[in-house]
Amino acid sequence: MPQQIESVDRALEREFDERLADCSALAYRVALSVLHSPADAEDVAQEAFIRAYRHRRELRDAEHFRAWLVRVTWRLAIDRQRSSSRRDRRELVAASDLPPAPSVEQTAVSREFQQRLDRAVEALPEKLRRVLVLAALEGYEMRETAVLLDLPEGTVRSRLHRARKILAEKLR
Amino acid sequence: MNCKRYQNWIPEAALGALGASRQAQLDAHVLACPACARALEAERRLLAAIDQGLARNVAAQPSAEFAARVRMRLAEEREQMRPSAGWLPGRPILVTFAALAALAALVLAVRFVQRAPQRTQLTTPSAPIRTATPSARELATVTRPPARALLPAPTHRASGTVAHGSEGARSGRENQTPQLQVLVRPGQWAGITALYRAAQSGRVDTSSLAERPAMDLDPLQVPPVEIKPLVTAALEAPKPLNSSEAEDIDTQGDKHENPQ
Repeated sequence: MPQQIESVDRALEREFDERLADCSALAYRVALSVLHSPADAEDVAQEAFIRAYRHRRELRDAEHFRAWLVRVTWRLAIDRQRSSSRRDRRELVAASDLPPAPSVEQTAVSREFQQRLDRAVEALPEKLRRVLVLAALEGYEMRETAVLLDLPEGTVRSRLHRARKILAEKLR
Repeated sequence: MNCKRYQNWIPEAALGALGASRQAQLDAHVLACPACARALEAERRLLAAIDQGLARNVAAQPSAEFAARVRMRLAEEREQMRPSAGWLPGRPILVTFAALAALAALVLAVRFVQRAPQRTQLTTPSAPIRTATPSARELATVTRPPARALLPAPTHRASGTVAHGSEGARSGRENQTPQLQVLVRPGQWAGITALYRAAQSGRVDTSSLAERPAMDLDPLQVPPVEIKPLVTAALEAPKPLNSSEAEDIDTQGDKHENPQ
């Protein structure tokens, strides 16, 4: 019996290590999309993984783990954004660190446009913002986004449309 | 050409959300209207820029040290979750023992405090409590005679055994006071019995004793005990107590304390 318990514990540890490797970028990106600060985003993502570790027994399913991690990371990032004064002295992701943009959009995706876009996204209602960010994360795959958010696909599609429309009106 | 109507449709068309009928009308219109065609193209570029800006925001990678830092935190978390973390092997036993010792000391202290007034009542004001009490054979347990007039005050014998006075007599609540038991030596019992009988028959005046003030003394201050020679001229040599006499006294005492 103790050997069985030990083997289960080992399996849980191994699974969690795999989840950490698979989902580190996802948690970081979710946090970064809210906080726009790499340091803060890493802190929040790390905290989300610690919480996930505490619940590792209930989060053995990979898809469930992913969705849970995204929701918790989002909530932690929003909490930090609201409570922290770091919002004012945030460090925007340097343009040089980003992958090169296609030449057709080079003018549009300037630093100034990116800042305007970030402000417009922050001004969105939270439920729209979450759908927008996660849809972007998932390459605008509605089904994947719906799974992550635990929402009907139609709701995700509708919210994404509203969010993009609002952004277009603000940035036009 | 009504461009205003088509321009209202352009944002929805750029989002891909225009109805099929309107989409067909707009497509036909932009073929003939360069201004609306430019507006539609601008709208599509804007949305593409938005999507690309969002994608750039979520395309970043955490630092190379991120996973290592998370694993370090996880190691700390595992240490905290381990039940025996931070405990020495024998520590729980020591703590348990210390807790039990403290509890025992507390119980003893409480019992001592609760008993202290009772002990004072039983012995005050005659003598300090004896620690080396006579053996069971030396002592006879009797019920105190009820007469407040007879034995109102404690009497201290030379041997140190205590014949106690009446708590009820002092408080004036005889009916509520339960019988008190006192321990005397068998030899002393004969004298007490003789005194009791003499008082009953009127040969001894106990009124002066009865009128003595109640002894509301500080329990810690033991006053000197006055032992006056008892004048009992008619008293003959004391006889050993037999059980029928003791029962007789007990019965009378019961009647006195329970008048009904």
